[in-house]
Amino acid sequence: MTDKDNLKANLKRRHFLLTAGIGGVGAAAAVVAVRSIGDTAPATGLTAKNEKGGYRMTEHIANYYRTARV
Amino acid sequence: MARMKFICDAERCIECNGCVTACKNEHEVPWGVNRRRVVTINDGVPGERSMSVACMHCSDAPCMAVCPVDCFYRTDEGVVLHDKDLCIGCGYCFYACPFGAPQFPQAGAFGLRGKMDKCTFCAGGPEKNASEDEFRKYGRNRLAEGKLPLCAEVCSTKALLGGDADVLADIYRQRVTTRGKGADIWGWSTAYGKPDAPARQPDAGGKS
Repeated sequence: MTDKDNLKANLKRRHFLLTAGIGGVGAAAAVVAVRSIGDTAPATGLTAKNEKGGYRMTEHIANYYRTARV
Repeated sequence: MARMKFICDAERCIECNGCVTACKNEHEVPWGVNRRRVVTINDGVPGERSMSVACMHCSDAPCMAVCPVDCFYRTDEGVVLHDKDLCIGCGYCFYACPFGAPQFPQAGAFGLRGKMDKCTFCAGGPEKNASEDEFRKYGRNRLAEGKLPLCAEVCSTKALLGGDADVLADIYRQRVTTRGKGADIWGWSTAYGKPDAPARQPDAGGKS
């Protein structure tokens, strides 16, 4: 194997490592984003208990209305 | 602000009593008290109709008007609730209610009445939401959990509807306008004809 071939192989390895690194950072960012969405989900009233305890349109109730239209 | 109401579609109710059972189970209602029941008119006769009945959370509730200790109150959503700590079990609300909603457990001998119990629209009572006291006195508070009364949610034919009156009115209006009348109600054209076919008219003349 010539020096030129060795250099190409090394570069390929570096590209692979670079891609894996970028992918990892992207995945971590996605996880953080999903978690932050999960944290804000109670604002829609789906999981958090409304302290006032009144009626509000939740996904559960919207689903009920949808099925009642059948 | 939404107004909470029940409506029962008598054309759909099959008298399964699923709503009654679900209510009793969800709120652990004591023996002898039925917050909801199914009433059948002309039972066994062709054309019989069944309806699930409970507190209708009247806009101008007679129970509220006659209560001598003023234990009833109405929530922002129009749900009529009462305070069991104030109730003296006089039974006036029972006499006033056209739906027979107020129930009285037999607390002991000599015809003593216990404190009144009735449908809460799964909205609990004056106690703190989801507290043990609230559950013991009034049952589960599903409205605070972002849900609707269980009786309506479990109804297999969606005969019993519960929730925002505006939405329910839309749903019911749509049903009335689409299902037509006569045999169409129970699906004659769906089962034996084409969906687009005009409804079959009954014979005009009888037997000669």
